[in-house]
Amino acid sequence: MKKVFAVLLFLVSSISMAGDIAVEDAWIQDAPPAARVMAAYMRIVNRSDHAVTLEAVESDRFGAVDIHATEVHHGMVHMSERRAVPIAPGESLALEPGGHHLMLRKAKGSVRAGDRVTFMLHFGNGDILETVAVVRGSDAGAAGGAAR
Amino acid sequence: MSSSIVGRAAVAAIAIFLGTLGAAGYRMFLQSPAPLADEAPLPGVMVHSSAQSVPAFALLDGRGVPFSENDLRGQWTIVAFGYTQCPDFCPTTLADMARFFDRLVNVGGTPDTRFAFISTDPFRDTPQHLSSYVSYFSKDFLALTGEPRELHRLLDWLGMPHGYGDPRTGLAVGDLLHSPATDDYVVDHYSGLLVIDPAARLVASILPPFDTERMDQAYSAIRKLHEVGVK
Repeated sequence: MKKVFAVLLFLVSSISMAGDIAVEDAWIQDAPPAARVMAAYMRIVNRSDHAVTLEAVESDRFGAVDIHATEVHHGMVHMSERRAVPIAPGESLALEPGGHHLMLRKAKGSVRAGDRVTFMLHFGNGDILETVAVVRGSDAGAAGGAAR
Repeated sequence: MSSSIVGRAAVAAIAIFLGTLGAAGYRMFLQSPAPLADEAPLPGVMVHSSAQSVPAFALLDGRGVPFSENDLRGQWTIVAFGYTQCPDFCPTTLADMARFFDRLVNVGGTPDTRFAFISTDPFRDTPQHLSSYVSYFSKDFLALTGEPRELHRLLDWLGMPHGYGDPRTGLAVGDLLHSPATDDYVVDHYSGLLVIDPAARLVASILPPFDTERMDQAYSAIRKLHEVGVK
């Protein structure tokens, strides 16, 4: 039975778990070859009974991954880095277009639609969660603004 | 769809707004988060009672060829502002515009409207680099950049504050008149779209979101109002 569960978990590859933290629907917005930056999105769910803090993210495909937030104030777009993003017990953190996102810089080689990119999410309690994000093409129905 | 009750109500709401907004309202609007508030069917869309001519400017298109206010004449132009080292907001806007223009073509054949992306980061966005970035979303999109001083003049006239900041500290590292000393900075820019008519006059603005359904409603409402206004 345990084996079956393990296989099922493996098949549901869009969900990653470490302890009581889970990541769902991780994806990367496809970008022009000329782009020097890309963005990754996902939902991080805190199923524990205590707050956790997302503190850093790494990927072997990018030299730098920054936790960023896009904000619009008075009609102006402003983007800034976040060092530690808290997720309350039972709550989730949505990284989504126009809001929090992972800014991906210094790509090691080209990253194209359909690629799978592994991220290591580091939390304040010492947990490290590995998750895989798929690069979505710009024409994908659920990509970009349509995801809002 | 375009003649739905919602569509007509939107036109009516904007028409009411038209009467109350003077020519000086443009700058006010750009810095206002939700000019029509929640009671309007189309919040975040504004049409001017008296369209203002775009002032003289000298930018460069994706081939490095001069592009001035006169090149706006003869067709409608929807303009967005941003920069290529913007991972989230700008590619989302460009992808939304690609979908919207696909729809314009599918519904009405060759559209009488084009899309232009103006870089607010001319220090890093050369015409060639900007062009290869923007054309990825659509070969028909115009990519405009240029001398920082020229861009500053245009943004200043539009009442669009802008600036370059350190993403970690939030401290300012420069602006269009003061070249940043670092290559690692983020750019504040206007979130909305400007709508320019074939006489090179600013007639409307649209704040995000830019999903196709909302763009359809907003743009057809703007065009209908413009027809009423010019006849």
